[in-house]
Amino acid sequence: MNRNRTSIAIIAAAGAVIAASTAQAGVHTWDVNEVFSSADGLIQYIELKETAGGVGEINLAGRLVTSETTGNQFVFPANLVPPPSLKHLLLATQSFADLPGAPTPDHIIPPNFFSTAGDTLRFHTVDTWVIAPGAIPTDCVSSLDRITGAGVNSPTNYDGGSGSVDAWPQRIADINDDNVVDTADLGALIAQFGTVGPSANLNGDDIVDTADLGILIAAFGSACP
Amino acid sequence: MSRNSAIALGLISLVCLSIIAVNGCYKTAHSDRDTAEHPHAHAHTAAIDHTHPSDDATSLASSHGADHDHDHDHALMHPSHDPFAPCRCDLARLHNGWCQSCNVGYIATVQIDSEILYSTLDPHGHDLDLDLIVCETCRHAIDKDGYCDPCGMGFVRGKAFFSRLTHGLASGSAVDPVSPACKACRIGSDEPRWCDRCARGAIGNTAFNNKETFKRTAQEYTTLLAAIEKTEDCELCACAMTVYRTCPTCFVSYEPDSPGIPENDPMHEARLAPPSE
Ligand SMILES: [Zn+2]
Ligand SMILES: [Zn+2]
Ligand SMILES: [Zn+2]
Ligand SMILES: [Zn+2]
Ligand SMILES: [Zn+2]
Repeated sequence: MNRNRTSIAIIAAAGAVIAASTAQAGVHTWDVNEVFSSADGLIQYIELKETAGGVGEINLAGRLVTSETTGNQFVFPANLVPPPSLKHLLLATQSFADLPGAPTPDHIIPPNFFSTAGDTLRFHTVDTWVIAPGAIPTDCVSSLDRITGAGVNSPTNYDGGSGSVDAWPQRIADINDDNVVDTADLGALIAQFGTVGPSANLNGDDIVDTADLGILIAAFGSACP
Repeated sequence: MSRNSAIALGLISLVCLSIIAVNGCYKTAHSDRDTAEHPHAHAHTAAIDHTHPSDDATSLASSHGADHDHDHDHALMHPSHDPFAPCRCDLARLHNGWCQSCNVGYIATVQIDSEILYSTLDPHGHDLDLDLIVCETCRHAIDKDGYCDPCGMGFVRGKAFFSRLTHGLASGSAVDPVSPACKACRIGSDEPRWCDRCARGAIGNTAFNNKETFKRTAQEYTTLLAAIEKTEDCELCACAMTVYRTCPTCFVSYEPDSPGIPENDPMHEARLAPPSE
């Protein structure tokens, strides 16, 4: 880099404020971006996003994500590995991490970290998201996105791993789509027993048989939590 | 079919018995679902009152050195502690930097012991992808080297600053110790000082030719002093004071012109909101 040494010296002597730093670091452009919860709060995630293409927004160590309603706090244990630009961070409960299709959370948070009955989530002093009561869907598949509102969940971690989860993995046995596996589903399976379907062939093989019944039994009584 | 039906019936009897035994009253399992709501509320309904920053910073913006040896001096720019490093407080005081040895930072020559407060103020300009910024006030601020209060972000020569104070300081120029002929203009005090005769002011290491920018930044300097005092109670409150946000642990909100008084948290959703027009 070419510089005019003389003018630099004068500026330095004059006590110039450094106005530009290409190696700057901070946390300012991370925002809480998406939240997801089951109704019982056991399966939750909070996704943050670097929103402005900042190249140095990595100094998260010691910074907090907090829920005003529950009082829960998460403290980032370490700074990020650059570059952070437009990446996501995924804080999630262990029950979320255990779901099929779930991207690996960057950090584990306790169940019911935030309230689905209205909450204010904050990241340090740089971001506040006021979430109205009832705004967070609890249908096991929809999340609340900061920009687009309710929609199919799309958790993404810092490495770019993303996916979509169903907080009710036994949904496959809900033959009549009424959000519970019950005698109505059992009746539907019986009616289709020995046939190819149309809707009770839970394991996707050639026939509705005891294997499908086994799946239904295992899921019996379950509902979106 | 009859053989299948017989098998099915037999199985069903077994299944029903086992289900009833295991689940008891299965209806309880889905009672919540019957009343579950499926709201589709959007988060971005709050109206945002954008206060437009004055444009007077532009006149000074180009006068401040943009490139500098210390730009790439990571140790000077980023808080870290190394008790064995040489003391660089003099340099740090000049450049709003951090002395690794003493583990303290300086902004406007004021010593800041709290790493989190220093980092929240973050005196050095940030490179953002300006095309991604959709907030109208921010767009205006990018063009005019202004500040967007709802987003807590201002711009000087395309670099982003995240507090009114550091934005104001970046809008100024280096204090020149040579030219002042009058006493009031000479370096000596770190306190904000304005000289009407020379039509210039200084705050710490930064000079201002524009009185409005000076006054605004001087007010932020006062807030910084109050915030430094506040670090003894709550470092995060101190951070919230300087950027007029809410303490994430005490939930006390700080408004401009009235630091320390709990208020409603100013909404901070503009940066994320898609263009409404
Ligand atoms: Zn069902
Ligand atoms: Zn020192
Ligand atoms: Zn803005
Ligand atoms: Zn003077
Ligand atoms: Zn506090």
